[in-house]
Amino acid sequence: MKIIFKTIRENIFTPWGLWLSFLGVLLATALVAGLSVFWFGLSITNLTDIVPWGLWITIDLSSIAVAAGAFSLCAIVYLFGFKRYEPIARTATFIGFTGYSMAMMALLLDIGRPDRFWKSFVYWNTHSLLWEVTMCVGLYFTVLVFEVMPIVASFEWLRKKFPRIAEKMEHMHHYAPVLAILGLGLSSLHQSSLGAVYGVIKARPIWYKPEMSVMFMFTAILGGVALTLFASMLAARLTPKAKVNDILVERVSQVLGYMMIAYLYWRFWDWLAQTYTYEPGRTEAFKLLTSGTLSFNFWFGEMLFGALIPTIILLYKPTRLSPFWRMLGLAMIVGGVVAFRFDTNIVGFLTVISYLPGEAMISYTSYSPSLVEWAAGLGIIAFGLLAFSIGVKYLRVVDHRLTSEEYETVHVMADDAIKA
Amino acid sequence: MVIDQSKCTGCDQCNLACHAHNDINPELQWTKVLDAGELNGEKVYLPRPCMQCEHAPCVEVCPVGASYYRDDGIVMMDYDKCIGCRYCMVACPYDARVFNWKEFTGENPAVPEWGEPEVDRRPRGVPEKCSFCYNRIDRGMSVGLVPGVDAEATPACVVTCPTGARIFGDLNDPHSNVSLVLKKHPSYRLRENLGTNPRVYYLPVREDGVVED
Ligand code: SF4
Ligand code: SF4
Repeated sequence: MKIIFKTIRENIFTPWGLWLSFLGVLLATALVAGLSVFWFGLSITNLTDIVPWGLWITIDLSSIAVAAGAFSLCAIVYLFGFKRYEPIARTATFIGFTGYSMAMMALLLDIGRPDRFWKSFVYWNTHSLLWEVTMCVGLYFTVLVFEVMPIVASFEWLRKKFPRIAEKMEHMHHYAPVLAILGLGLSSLHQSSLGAVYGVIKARPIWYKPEMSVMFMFTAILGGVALTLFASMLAARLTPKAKVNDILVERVSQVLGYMMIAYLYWRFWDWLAQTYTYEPGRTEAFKLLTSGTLSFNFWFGEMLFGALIPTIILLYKPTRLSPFWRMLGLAMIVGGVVAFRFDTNIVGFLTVISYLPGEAMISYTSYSPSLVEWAAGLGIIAFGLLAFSIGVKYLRVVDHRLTSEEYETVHVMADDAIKA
Repeated sequence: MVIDQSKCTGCDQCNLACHAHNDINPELQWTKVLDAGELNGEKVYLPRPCMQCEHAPCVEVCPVGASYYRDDGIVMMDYDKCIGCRYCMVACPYDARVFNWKEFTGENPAVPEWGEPEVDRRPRGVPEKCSFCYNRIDRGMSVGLVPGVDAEATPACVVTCPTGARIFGDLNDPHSNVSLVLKKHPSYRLRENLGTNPRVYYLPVREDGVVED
């Protein structure tokens, strides 16, 4: 006990100690908030029958989105054979694992009967997109558990105390290509059907469009890759434990820049299609985005700082080569994706469509999360930051000196195919 | 169910009977009586129960199948299976579902001293909605009564309506009371363009103010 106190006393005022204490405070607050939600029920949130999904669902959607770097980069490395990028895939896998854990926490808070969460795996309505999402998220999380095993195996303490287990976990790395295929399949299924969860809702015309699923998939890949790169670069600046290979990061950033052009192109046509004719409900909802309460989010969060400026930063060579500007650009993309998910979710609720005949059809409502929602939500984010920090410090999550040799030799079929 | 807007006076008795029969939290409503504007200086009302949609979005989206169809078409809720994700509320085009944000404890002011609710209270954390009083229908039919004709086999709101604005019956039977009314009078349904095929029809108020029967 004494030793523990002594270590705490000695380390608390180091940057690491302060950072941990800051996260600890957030987590403790969130714990109180979370427990009170379980105890008092959802009535202590600002959710209503009109706005039944709020901040937590945004966090859920966003953390799943930015976790998508895992499957995209794993596929690139293990299936398409770009082995050079393996260290980045390692970072992405860890972020993916963290992101999905965050998403599941958010969901557990959000459902009215957390005690029955297991029923979503036992009782199946295969027609429901939410069923599909639940199953895929559950299965993919299992895949991620296997994928992070070799990473966790690099924990010094584990290696010393339980060398056998660590070795077994390390061994998982041999299955990386198989896991990558599974991950790719499951992720592409649920990342897109997460969009379709909204896209099939006829009652809310702003959502009801087939490209919803494609948009979710696309933004997930953008946000996921951007976050992986940003987090790697940030870690490398803050601690000597993290090492990045700037050439790799710069390459991927450039590709990301080109993908952003495709994204902008897409958004342009989406915008045109949404505004071209009057459609009751949809037009009003779109007005809310472009000139109503959500307009700041939309124009600045999603468009200007979320898409246009980062595209320029990542494609213009001098800014891309500068680590500062590149990091800024990457962070903006992540912000843009989060803004997109937030707006998409909330706009459908804030536009209330009357079913009365001959009435003025549309009215707007408002929603702002309650203190409890913020506290619990920030706690979930703090959990993500904590997991990543620990990963960087103890698990060499960001270490671009790692090459495949360190995992012993791995021969991948896809690799051969590329050489041929 | 057919609801005759020319007869509805907005008295809210249906809502009260619904609360008493189904033991509903006073803060929630299964059947709302909404203001629907004015015609010739008279107020028009629109009572709105669950539409018991034939293609019910709530049933389609429920991940665990807690919302489901009965064979006769009534859209049911399995309150023990529901995980409380509220996707059905997001999907319902008629706001027919209300969520139990709180536990409902204590007295129900709608329940009279001489009676008892016939339906169990729902727990906290699940949405609930109008069930067309399926338990009244089932019990009545089991002793040979006809829903819509015999009060004991008919939803509480229909029985209680003082002006007879609600008519209940079997839409699949071309000779039932509801089918005949719909044949005789023009009717409409809510948000028909969505293709949900609601089983609640409305007879609009006539311009000339004539009340038909
Ligand atoms: S009105 Fe709503 S709750 Fe009722 S069946 Fe239709 S979609 Fe379901
Ligand atoms: S809240 Fe319950 S009934 Fe509604 S979709 Fe979710 S599980 Fe189904």
